[in-house]
Amino acid sequence: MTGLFFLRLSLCLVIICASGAAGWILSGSIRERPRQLRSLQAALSRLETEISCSMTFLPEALKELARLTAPPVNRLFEDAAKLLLHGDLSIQEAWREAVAKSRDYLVLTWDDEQILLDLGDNLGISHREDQSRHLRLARKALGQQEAEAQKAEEQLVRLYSVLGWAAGGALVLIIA
Amino acid sequence: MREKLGFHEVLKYTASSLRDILGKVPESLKEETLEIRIRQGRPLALVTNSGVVFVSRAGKPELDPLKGYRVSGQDCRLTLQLMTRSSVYMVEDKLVQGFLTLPGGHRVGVVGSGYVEQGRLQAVRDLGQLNIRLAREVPEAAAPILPSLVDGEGRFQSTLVISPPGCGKTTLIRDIARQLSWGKPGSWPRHTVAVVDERSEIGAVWQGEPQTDCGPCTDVLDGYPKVEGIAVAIRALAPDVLVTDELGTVEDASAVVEAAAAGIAVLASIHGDSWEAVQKRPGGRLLAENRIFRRLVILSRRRGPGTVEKVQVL
Repeated sequence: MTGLFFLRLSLCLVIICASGAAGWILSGSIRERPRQLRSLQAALSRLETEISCSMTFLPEALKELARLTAPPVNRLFEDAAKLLLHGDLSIQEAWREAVAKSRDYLVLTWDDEQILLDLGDNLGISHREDQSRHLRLARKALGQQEAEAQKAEEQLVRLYSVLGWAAGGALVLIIA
Repeated sequence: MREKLGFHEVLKYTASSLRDILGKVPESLKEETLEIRIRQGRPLALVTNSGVVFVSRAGKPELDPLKGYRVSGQDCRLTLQLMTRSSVYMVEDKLVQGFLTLPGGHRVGVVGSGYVEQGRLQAVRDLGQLNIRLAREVPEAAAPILPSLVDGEGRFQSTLVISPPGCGKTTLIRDIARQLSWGKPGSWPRHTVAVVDERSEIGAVWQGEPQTDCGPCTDVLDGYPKVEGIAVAIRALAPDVLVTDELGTVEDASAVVEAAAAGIAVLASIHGDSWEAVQKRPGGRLLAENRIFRRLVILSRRRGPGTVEKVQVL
């Protein structure tokens, strides 16, 4: 009898832990998004320096960003640089394609993507001051998205965790 | 064959839609082409020695402009991106001056809508008119006249090349610079040459490297305004020969006088059809009064560009 009791107790504990972990995993993208938005802002700040001060051609500037930015955000710049250097694409087409590919590895929302796409429509096609202006605007917009993402993180991560543990507890009660 | 090669060289810098059309142009026409004109909302055109030819969507030469392929805004934008490596900001100063240089030394006239501030052109927008001038290096163009431009010891004598536009001034002075820089045993020694190339026409520098053969002992001051460039050349490079194109203003002439006073032989060109006509302008008068030049070369198009009418010893 004692053995069966301990087996059931262990099973209940496993269910509750697994459920709690699932809640934590599901909240992963919510925790990751602010980090990626921060990384993007830092990269755009570097891009502004490359364009305004270092006078670097855009494909090389994107390659440099791919080198300096932390994964997975660096892939966005790596893909854009590759498409630009080896394909017969305009910067707008290359950027759009790179942003579309980033859906596989970034956790950005539709609004975040639109900011990047709007920036892409203006990258490389005007004088330095104008480029700086567009990059600053994009950074500012991403900053606002980041602030919202952080607020969402605080609320939703807790919610997902609580739901995870609660769902586990409920399942145990039903089974028991 | 240089022209034909040039035609193919520049195709990769045009939008794929234009590249497809231009690729279908008959080879004989490609060889004759001097300029490719890409203008938004207007027919795609080629300029040859015999005049302007329009190109249809099928790549067929047409005399009727209405049958030419109508260039779109997207064609122009994409072409400009390919020409600037998606980095218009890197060439904004050149765009204000109205030209770009491509690998191979091909020059692209770029114009659009000007933005003026305090009476000066600050930027150019809507760049929808591109005129690709195919580079035409003519090696040995200067060979027949160069012996008469050096003294008994082979030292180059200051020379002014005079001609109306389109007669091959730049081609000639580029080849003189090249040959002086290489030297010719028994005729003239190697000269150190400094080319002040305000409009990137002589050296056609692209990303720091001259695209034309200016010789092994030649420094190219690409994009330097003449006055500043000549001052830098005198101060920093101390060349045997200073080369510059299209003298125009009194300031240009004064800078040349300074170089000559520093003991540097000067090779320059100027618009005009005779030495007398040149001297009527203030800059020309200054050059004449200071007896800067020992040789004059007068060019015309009488037997095609580069026809040498006269080499005069002053």
